[in-house]
Amino acid sequence: MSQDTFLSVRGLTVEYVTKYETVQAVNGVCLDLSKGQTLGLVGETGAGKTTIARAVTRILQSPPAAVRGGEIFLDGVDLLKLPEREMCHMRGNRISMIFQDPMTALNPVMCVGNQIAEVIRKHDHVSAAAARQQAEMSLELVGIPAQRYGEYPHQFSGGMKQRVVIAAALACGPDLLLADEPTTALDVTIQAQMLDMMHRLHDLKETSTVIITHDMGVVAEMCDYVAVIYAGEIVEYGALEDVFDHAAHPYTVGLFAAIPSMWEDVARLTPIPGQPPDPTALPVGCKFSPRCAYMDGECGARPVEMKTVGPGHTCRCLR
Amino acid sequence: MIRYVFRRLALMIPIIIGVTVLVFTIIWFTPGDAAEVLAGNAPREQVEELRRLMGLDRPYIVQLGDYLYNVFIRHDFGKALVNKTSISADIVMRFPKSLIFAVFGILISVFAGIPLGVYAALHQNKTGDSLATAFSLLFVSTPGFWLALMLVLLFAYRLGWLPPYGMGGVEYWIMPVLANCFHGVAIITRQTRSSMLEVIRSDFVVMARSKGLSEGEVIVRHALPNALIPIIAVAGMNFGGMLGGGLIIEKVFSIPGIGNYLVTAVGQRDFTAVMGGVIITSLFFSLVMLAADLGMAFVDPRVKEQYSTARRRK
Ligand SMILES: Nc1ncnc2c1ncn2[C@@H]1O[C@H](COP(=O)(O)OP(=O)(O)OP(=O)(O)O)[C@@H](O)[C@H]1O
Ligand SMILES: [Mg+2]
Repeated sequence: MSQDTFLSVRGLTVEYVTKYETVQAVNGVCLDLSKGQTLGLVGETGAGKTTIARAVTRILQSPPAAVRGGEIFLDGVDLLKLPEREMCHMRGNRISMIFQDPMTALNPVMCVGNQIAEVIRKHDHVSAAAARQQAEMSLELVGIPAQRYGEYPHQFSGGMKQRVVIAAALACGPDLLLADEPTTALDVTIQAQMLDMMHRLHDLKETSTVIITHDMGVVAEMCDYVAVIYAGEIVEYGALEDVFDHAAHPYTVGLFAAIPSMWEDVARLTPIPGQPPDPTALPVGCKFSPRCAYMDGECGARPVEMKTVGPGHTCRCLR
Repeated sequence: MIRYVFRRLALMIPIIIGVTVLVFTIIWFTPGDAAEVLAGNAPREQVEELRRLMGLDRPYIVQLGDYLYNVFIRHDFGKALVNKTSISADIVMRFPKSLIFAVFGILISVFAGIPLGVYAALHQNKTGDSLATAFSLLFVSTPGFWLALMLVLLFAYRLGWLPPYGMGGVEYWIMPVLANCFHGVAIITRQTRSSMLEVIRSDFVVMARSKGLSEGEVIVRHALPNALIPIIAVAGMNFGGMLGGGLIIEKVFSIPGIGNYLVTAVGQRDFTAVMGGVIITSLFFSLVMLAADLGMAFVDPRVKEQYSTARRRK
């Protein structure tokens, strides 16, 4: 762990244990993020991205979730060992999370303004009136008129709800922002505005940000680093340019081949063949090997380690 | 919202009239009448004479019309056929006792059932939950009168702590209220547990946690208000049930409430007394249901909106 690392996740392993099966959602994930930097976490659905973000915030529902191992350091403090009381001071204040699904993330019987004011009151210890004023400002900031403070989530569109969720997450100016697909429900102009807001917060408070997304455009615009995650494992990690220009892992290459390009005239997109592996029975060796064009006898035999393919650029592939 | 309340109040008029006609009809078709009860073993002609004097020999439709006219136009419940007392006076004397009884019952049910249910939901599948679930299953399926008799056996006869029946100070109320509310506590515990279990898995509860709220704040501010809607519905039904359904328990403990009054009146085939008791009970039942609906609108803005759009549609 280098000196200026702000968030450091070491060997995080999370399982979902139900009566009938055990889902290995996150398997030994390591991430490092310096102050003020932005990391993009990309990967297919079910890869374990949300689980990682929730594990860092320690809001996994347990049971069924169980953190089997690993350490999460924020500013040198191991979050997994922190007493719940101190963790409460962290959440919403120093660490905050933008939830993936705006339709279900807001309390249907509490007016949206109060859902923002609540987090301000909790951490900034201000009067109710002051919190209300700040919450109204937050609403304006995400482009929702302050008069709508007293309305309820069902009176809002999906995109507006997502903006309320963003406003609540940003209200206390967090040091670490975990944004779980923050722009999926937004149209392009609003999306640009939100990204711009995150940029500004970033410059203002040196917020370190983890952006979880499927949108390579968002990654290209926002991120300094990219981690590609597959079946609960990081398969490629590096600076934005390295990963985009010299993708090393066949899965990453496949991901890029599957997005439409503005510049090249590709007749057809190339989807990655096959399905992600069953998370209750993962392959022993490389988890991508069953779908990989370069698969040979070695790949399936034993776990593949991360190997350096360039300065600060690592990849989990034997090739 | 106000308009909605008035509409509901207006709607109660046909409901009460409907209940009146229905109950009147059922009594009319029941064998035996007040004349036979009054006459005892008197010869047939005497019973016929009595029946004629009381107006019980008139056709069904005339008696019904007469009764409806008296109650809804002249606002007069009349006199009891057998005991010759004024029914309004009887009700004024007895109904408050049943009301107090039901109010205590529902208060205890709510204030014990909700915390128990919340506790059970938060400790799902642990010992506390199993105990609470077993408790509620047991008392949901235990008949109130049997419980009442068991309480009497234990606390009045075996231990001698409480008077077995009658009216008086607080000690007379303890057992009847307990016997009356156990069922309510059990039902509300079950309902609270299941709706809490559903709510605490929702994303918005997790989001509330991610804001750094303490577990208590998350439960009280976010989870419980969302779980409350079905609980209010069940509590309303239960309160209504206690109002009228306390009758067997009132009988067991000889409480001179409306339930006891009804049981006696049915035994005497005293239709005016039965009708009076039923009308007043159904009136309050409707009011309680209205209150429950308003309570739901109060906690859930979506329900409230339905009421206002229903109004606009007109
Ligand atoms: N509560 C749960 N119980 C059991 N399994 C779960 C639970 N939540 C998630 N999982 C499983 O864990 C794995 C990772 O899920 P996660 O939500 O982290 O995926 P994700 O990368 O965020 O996907 P998406 O892009 O669709 O949001 C999936 O296989 C999922 O089925
Ligand atoms: Mg997700």
